[in-house]
Parts: sequence; C-alpha cells; structure tokens
Amino acid sequence: MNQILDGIRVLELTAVINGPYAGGLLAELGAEVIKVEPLDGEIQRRIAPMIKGQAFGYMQYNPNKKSITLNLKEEKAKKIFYQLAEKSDVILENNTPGVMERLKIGWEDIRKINPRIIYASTTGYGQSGPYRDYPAYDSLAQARGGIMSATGDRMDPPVKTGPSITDFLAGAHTALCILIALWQRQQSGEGQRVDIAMYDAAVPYLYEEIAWMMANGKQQERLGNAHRSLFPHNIYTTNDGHIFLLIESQQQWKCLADIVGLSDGYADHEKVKNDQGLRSKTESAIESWTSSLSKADAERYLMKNGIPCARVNYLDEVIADPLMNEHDMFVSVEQQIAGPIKIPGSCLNIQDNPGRVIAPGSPLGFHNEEILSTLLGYSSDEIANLKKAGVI
Amino acid sequence: MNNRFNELVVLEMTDKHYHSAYAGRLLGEIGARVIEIEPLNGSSLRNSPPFKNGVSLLHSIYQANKESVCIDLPKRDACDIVLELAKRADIILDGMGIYVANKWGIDYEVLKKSNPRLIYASLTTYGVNGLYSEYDDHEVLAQARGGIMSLTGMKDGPPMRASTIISDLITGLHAAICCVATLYHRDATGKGQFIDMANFDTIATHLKEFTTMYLVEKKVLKRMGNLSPRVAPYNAYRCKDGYAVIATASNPQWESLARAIGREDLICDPNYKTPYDRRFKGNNVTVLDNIIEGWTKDRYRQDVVDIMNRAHVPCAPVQEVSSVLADEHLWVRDMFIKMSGSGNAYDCFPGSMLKLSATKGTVSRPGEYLGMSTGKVLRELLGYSDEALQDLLKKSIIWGAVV
Repeated sequence: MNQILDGIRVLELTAVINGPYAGGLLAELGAEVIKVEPLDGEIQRRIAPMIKGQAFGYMQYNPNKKSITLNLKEEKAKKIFYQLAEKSDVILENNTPGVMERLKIGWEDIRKINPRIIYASTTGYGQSGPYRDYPAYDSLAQARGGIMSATGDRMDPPVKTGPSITDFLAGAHTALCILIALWQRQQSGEGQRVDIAMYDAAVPYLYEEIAWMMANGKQQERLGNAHRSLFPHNIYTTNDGHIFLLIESQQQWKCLADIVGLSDGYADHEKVKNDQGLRSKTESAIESWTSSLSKADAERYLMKNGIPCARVNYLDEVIADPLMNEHDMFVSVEQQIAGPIKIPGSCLNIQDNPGRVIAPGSPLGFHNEEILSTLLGYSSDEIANLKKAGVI
Repeated sequence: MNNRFNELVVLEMTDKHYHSAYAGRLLGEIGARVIEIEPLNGSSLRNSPPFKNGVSLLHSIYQANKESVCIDLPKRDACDIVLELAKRADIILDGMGIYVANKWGIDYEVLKKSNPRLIYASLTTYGVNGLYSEYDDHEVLAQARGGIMSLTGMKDGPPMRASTIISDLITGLHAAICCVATLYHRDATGKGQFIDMANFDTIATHLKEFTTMYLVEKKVLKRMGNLSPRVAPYNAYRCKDGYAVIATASNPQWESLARAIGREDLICDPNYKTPYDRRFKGNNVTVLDNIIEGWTKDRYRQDVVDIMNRAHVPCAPVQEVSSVLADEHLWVRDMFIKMSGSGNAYDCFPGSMLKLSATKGTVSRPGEYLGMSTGKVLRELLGYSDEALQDLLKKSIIWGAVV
C-alpha cells in the first residue's frame, strides 16, 4: 500500500518521548525515519522492561524506524551525517538547545549543504526565553505550566495529569509543523526551522483556566471531578470500581432522581444545584444506588434510561475493549531480536492512506550497513574500519 | 515565502466538543481562512462560560482568527448554502457527532461528488463505525472509559479527571496532522479523503508509558499522584509557600540532589544504588520522599528551585495559573500576546505554538460575534448580491452582518 510520506526521509536525533513521538507519527505515515543514536543508544534503550535485551518502551515509541549509530564527536561520523543530511528532507532533534550547534550540525550548518531541509527541534522550554537552558521533564512542565495547580481535588496536594501530556503535545505539534513545512516546500522549494517547546504546550492545555483568569482575574478553585455548572458530575463507587455520570437537562435529572429514589422535594433541578445540603444528599443517594451494582450493570441501566455515564476503566479493560480491537489500536508486530510483541497502533485514520504501525523500533545500529552501503555507497571494508575506529 | 495556507478555505462545524475547534484554530493560526458555521442560537461553545462583557472567552480563544457565518441549519435552504460553500472549500472539520451531517444531507459522500478535492475530517468520541454510537459522548466520559482517570489522582484517592478536555485537544491536534498530511498527498493525487478521528483512539496512543507494563508483564498500573512509574526521587514536595517538583532520572542527578540537601551519606548507601532501586525496592521511595520533604518544607518554593537549578537537579515550582500568565518566558515566546479586535481588548491572550521560521503561526483576532462574517463570506465565496442576502435574512435562513 502506498503511503502519504513515501519518499520522505527523516534523520531523527531524539530521546525519551517527545522527539520520538513526533518521528513516530511521520513514520506511521510512511516516511523513512532513520534514528541516529550514540554508540550506546538513547536513554529509552536502557529503561526496563526488556524483552531479550530490547527495551519495550523504545520499541513502542519508535515504530517503523531504522536505527543507525554515529559517534558524532568523531570527524568521520560528522562527514557521514552531512552526507545523510544532503539526502534527507527533515532533521528532527530534541537535544538541549546548543548541543547540535556545538556538534556543528545545527540549522545554520545543515541548511548550507541542503537548503531544502526542514529542521525541527522540540525541547523542554524551546530555543528562546529565560528557561531555554533548563532541563525539563513532563512533570516539570506540568508543574511550572500550571497544569498541576489545576488538577485534582482542592483538599489534596496539586497532582499531575497521569499521562506525560506535555511530551505528547509537543511531539504532535512538532509533527504538525513538519508536515506544514513539507507542504509549503512543495511550492517554495525551501526548508524551514521549527521550534517547539513542551512548556508552551501548557497554554493550549489550559485554555479553559486561562479563560477563567481573563474573565475573573483569579484562578478557579480546583474542582476534582466536579464541574463549574453541571451537577451531578462525579464518580460514584460501584461494587467493583467506579462509574462517572453527569446530568445536563431537567429531563435527565428527573430520570436519575427516580432511579436513585430521591423524593418529590428534589424535583426542581435548579433548586438542588444551588443548595449545599440537597447536593450532598443527592451524592449519597446516587452512591448508595451504584454501590450495590457492578460498573457494567450500573452503566447499562443508566444508559438505557438516557443518563450520560461511563465506567472508569483500568488499563487491562481499556486494552480489552472491543473498539480498540476494531480500530487496530494494539497491533501484533515483530522485532528482529525481541520477536513477536504487541504495541499501540496508529490513530491517524486517513481513509485511503491510514497511518500504520508495521514494525517496532529496531535494535541499536541494526541498519548501519544498509544505510552506509546502499544510501551512501560505502564499501564493506570502509564500514568495517569505521566500526573498528569507534565511529559507528 | 508565499504561505500556501492563505489560499485554503476551511469550513468548521463545532457543537459541544472542542476537538474540531482546536483543529480549526491550528489551521487558522497557520493562515487558512477558517469559517465557523453556526446555527441561529450559536454553537454550544459560544454559550459556554466564563463570560466577559457577554462574550464567552472560551469561544474567543478557540475560535481566534475564524470568521463566523450564521445560518439556520438544518433548514433545507441553509443546508444548500453549506453545499455551495463546500464546493469552494479545501477542508471540512465536522465535530457535530456521527449522524448529524448525514441526516442533513451534507456528509462526505454527498459533498465529494461536486468537490473531489475536498478533505473531510470527522471528529467523534468513538469513530464513525457505529460500535458505540448509542453512547453519550462527553469528553469527561471518554477520559473515564479510556483509562486516563484511572491514571490521574493521588495513590490512595479516587480516580480523577485531567484538568481539561485533554482528549478533545489531542484529537483536534491529530486531526490537523491528518488534514495537512492529506493536503500534501493531494498535490500528487488531486483528490481529497475522508478522515475518521476518534477520541478513544488518540487516548490509546497517549497511554504508552503505562500500557508497557501491562503488555509485557500483565501489570495494571494505577494513579500514583506525582510519582514516576519508573524512577525516583521524582515527586512534588511541600515547601513553606506551595510545592516544587524535583525530578531525578539518572544517578548523577540523584547524587547532586543528595549533596544539595546535605545528605551525601545516601549516595554510597547500596540500598539506593539505581533509579529502579530508589523507586521500587522496599519502602525506599517513601523514605527518600520524606527525607526530601523534610528539607523542602521549611524553605520557600523559589529558594528550593534556585538551589536545585544551581546544582543541576531538574526542578520547577508548581505555579498557579496567574503566575503562568505572568511568566516572562511565555511572553518572550509569543505564547501570550496582547490582543484587540471584535470589540474586545485583552491584556493577555493565548498565542500560537506553531513556531516555523518562514511561516509561523499567528493569532490576529479573537473569535467573532455570531454571524459577523455571514454577508462577507457569502459575497466573497459565493458571489451573493446584497438583495439575495437581504432576502435570506428576511426568510431567517441566515443571520448576522450582511451589509
């Protein structure tokens, strides 16, 4: 099957989640992504769990990619990199600002040899601003970016969003910018520089909190699972976990009140919403109804009666969900050393040319010879010498 | 560089979900002409709090750069206007839910007949195949069903929703990715495509850190407050005036941290040899967190951050949103800008993340009043005369500014 980015070559110098996620999206769309790693591999290669020595995290964050090693401190390795850059469309990196320039493979160095190159950096704080040189992890971006201060129950300490959301947001915005630059280049013939920051991602993430600040000049109290205007809007205990339900209309309210046995005194939804006592009695009435049921039974019954609700699923339940299977969201693939494994699939569902996860990330340096010989024309003797000299 | 996005026309139909709104905002930031098609009483987004001077600020932010065209869908004459606009459009963002466009006779199968170059992105909670079509599709319910809530919150507390419409945001973002990828493809094929984006799918790809342990060891990870699923020390620590996050992922960082709090003795302790030992061996993670918090709790947050940064230990304050809005770094990077337009001026308005050197994303005006561009768009794109517009206005097919 032909894919949208067939014929596009990406050199990726990334580690952990943010950069690899960006490159993974391009690889899902068919780009030839060559991951360039130091001789001992990027950090993710050393993080457990492992399968036959292959880090599972690495394999799932780097789908469809080829792997080569280059010791970029060596002049010979730099030369190989320049040769590759000449034949590539995109360079993607997530090193601390300044690192690529010091290695003489920064935007200015590369555009001289390939003016069509799209050079994308995705880092913690970006290429400008006072925090530029700070190290960043997702938690730090969530902390400084206000996400933690807006999450969780007001009685608890601030808490982060479970998934490393700023990593993923930065990675996906980077992939978007690269695609934008590729489309622009079709007409202009020129490349561009892309500069994305995890910290910046806190801004779109918090549009709602920012809007609230703009309107009232102060931050809304942390609400936990409650909602500013809807009530009820919460999780309730079942005999095997939790169910989330919410009420949007008087009709739904009446139906729920009947189900959980609230008397006529509760008929007026607006009145209940605005009375602290009635609110807390409502919460206990719902919970005493849900607590004797399983989440599946509670969900089925409430849905049948038109109440918006969903069970709170744990990971095993999410993965087992029939829709995940239907949408191929967890796919069986095979790695050269680890063998058959199951990893997350692609969510880029473009009808005739969907994103696809065909293979997990490759073993370190697996494609050294293929890339050096077929793409750059090195002989096997030359390659052996480069290996001996610690260049690859 | 000539910006090709300036030649693009995007039609956006958004109801109560924000995914299509975010996708539209991204395309608008990069220069496309994004037209928000709204019913007579406005989209749900327009009617969402908080309000200032009667204007929904959520609408102002999400619908920045866009033009508002107000038509009385699903009246037949109004649907016909959408059919006409779709002939001139490059991209349609449909966030109305799975059967709505079909019911109104303006779905992809209809529209592509008169415009084969059209790219049509459907954004829904569960996708268009109908498996969960009877399910109510609130963003928070997608978080519950999709596992995000099981991973957010304190270790001993209940599941917690992420603080925002996280799955709408990532779904809108990935829809924009698919749209631009398809534009690229269209240069070669001359044809548009149908894009089926689902919150449930995008959530699945964002659980990777946690699904790892299940796929390999059948271990179901659950919420763990601010701890890392892999390394320690890594947590939010109480200070005199708030919290600071200290995050060590390697031995050198751990050693610097131990020195910075005057506990060099811990470095040689074989019990704490690797990040994995510190996180998972015995009661290590709690013991170490107590030692660190014992040190932070008598210090001001900013002092903790300064000491840690000087020692090269990754650390950041847990900032309130007010401090984020005042953060110089974000102003330097144009993530916040001053804004005027549409009758409202804002001292602080969210800017664009799309930082490209030649064609960077920009935000030039907040979302418009309802129907502010109805006449303008119908005149410019469809060549409607003033009389025709007046006539449609009289018949209540359209609403807003027509002259």
